[in-house]
Amino acid sequence: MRGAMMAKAMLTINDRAASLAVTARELARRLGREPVFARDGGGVLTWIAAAMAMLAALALGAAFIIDDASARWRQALTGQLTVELPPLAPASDAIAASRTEADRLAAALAVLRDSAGIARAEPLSRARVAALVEPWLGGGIGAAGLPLPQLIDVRLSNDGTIDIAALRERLAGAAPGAIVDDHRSWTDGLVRLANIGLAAAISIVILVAAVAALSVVQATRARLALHREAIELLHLIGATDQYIAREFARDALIVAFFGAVIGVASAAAFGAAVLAGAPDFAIGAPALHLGAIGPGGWLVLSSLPLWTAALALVTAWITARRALRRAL
Amino acid sequence: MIRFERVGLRYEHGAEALHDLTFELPEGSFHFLTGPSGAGKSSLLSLLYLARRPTSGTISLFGREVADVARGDLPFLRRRIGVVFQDFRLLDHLSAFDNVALPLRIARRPEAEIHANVSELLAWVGLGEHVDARPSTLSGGQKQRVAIARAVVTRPSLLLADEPTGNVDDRMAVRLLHLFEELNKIGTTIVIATHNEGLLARFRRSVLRLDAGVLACAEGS
Repeated sequence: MRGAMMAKAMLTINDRAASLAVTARELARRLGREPVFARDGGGVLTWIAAAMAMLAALALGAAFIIDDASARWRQALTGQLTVELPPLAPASDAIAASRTEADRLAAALAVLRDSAGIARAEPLSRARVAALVEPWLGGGIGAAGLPLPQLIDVRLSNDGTIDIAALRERLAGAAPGAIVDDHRSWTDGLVRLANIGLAAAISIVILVAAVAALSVVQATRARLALHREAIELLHLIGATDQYIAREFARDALIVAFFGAVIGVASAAAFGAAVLAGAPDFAIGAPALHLGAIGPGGWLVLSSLPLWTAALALVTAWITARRALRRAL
Repeated sequence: MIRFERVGLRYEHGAEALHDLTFELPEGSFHFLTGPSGAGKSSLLSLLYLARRPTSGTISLFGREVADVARGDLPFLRRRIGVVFQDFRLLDHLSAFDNVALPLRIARRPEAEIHANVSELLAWVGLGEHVDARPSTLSGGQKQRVAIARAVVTRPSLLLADEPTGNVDDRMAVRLLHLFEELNKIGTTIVIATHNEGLLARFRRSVLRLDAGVLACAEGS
């Protein structure tokens, strides 16, 4: 009795094991199922997709880096003004001249410190001003007694909006000849530069996408011609145009995806190598580096293989459908 | 089931392959199609498996005028037809299993059902040990059996075979004919084009004899 039960249990286990083996074999067969059309010629499309994705990634990466550098430069320059008091005409004696310049500085500081939206206004020492012009005029400027402008570093309050025109007017009354530099010409230039970089990157990406789409069209047409007999057979055994087009689209998707992964990885390696030798700018940290690409940028770059694959899928699908329409 | 009415077929820039064919094949019938080489047997079969449209006359299949069938509906009509091509038309990069499974996958049958049916059928035609073999590694007779398995795996309403026993020995030819008979018993209409007079004599069935594109005679079973 016990032996019979054991034998029955063994049979059940055997049945289940056999069933599991069939399921596993079936799963392996499904996963490893050959494509209906042999993937000959896919190699060329892989490398085209890799090259296109690399170009797109480099263009987008450059745009992100330029945009980040421009934003950081703008951030460093906004929230501050520089007031310049040019040297006065030579006075009859040095004491009188220095007293006049000191009076003018005091008047300018009084106006600035009294103005709404200004948090702080500090004059720069003559030595500091000399240090600032040293890259252009050489060392020893201060000691040589050459006339230097008096500079005032002005910090704006965080919430302060300031009427520059009104400030200029009041400074002109208190300290004639005072120049207010709000760095707008710099920041406007940087914004223009960043916008040009972004527009160039978008143009390159559009161009690359167009070239990639044309490549997929040509590759799909070539494969359609190559597999003409297999397509005819599939039609004769009941395949719809959708079924056949789906096979071509799926093959293009796989090939383009892996090509684009290679391209994006190559672009990242290439970018890191090039930017390793990028110059260190005066304002802030080294301006051009891969760290400048934020999470959003990395998300866009890492999604490039998906976009490339989607483009290949849609293009191959449309190309195949249009070609198959002519079949019987 | 199948009705030809004054059907003619002329190839582009070529001679008339079929001329004024009129006949009817009832549902569930079994026919041999014979005649000398160039008589038009393959052309007639190509009209039946909807690879071509006639240049004259009308063909009715499964109760529908073929001329009225929209292109989008042709695949569904073709799925009811199994075809054994004279040149097998196997896909070289696919295994014997995947070649036979193709019509079922096209028809979106469940993979478990595909596995069971294909394995059973390949075993039945003596290729149970060759399920993973590529056609290039199979002999002519083995390829023919794969092609036959692919044609019958969907249990078609109409089975068309162009010289299905041309590459197999007599024993296997008889075995395959018995398979066709089994299918016929469950309602499949069978049309077999053959030169094999021995088979015609052994399996005494209706014979359509073509000569120079014209139906010379139809002999009842």
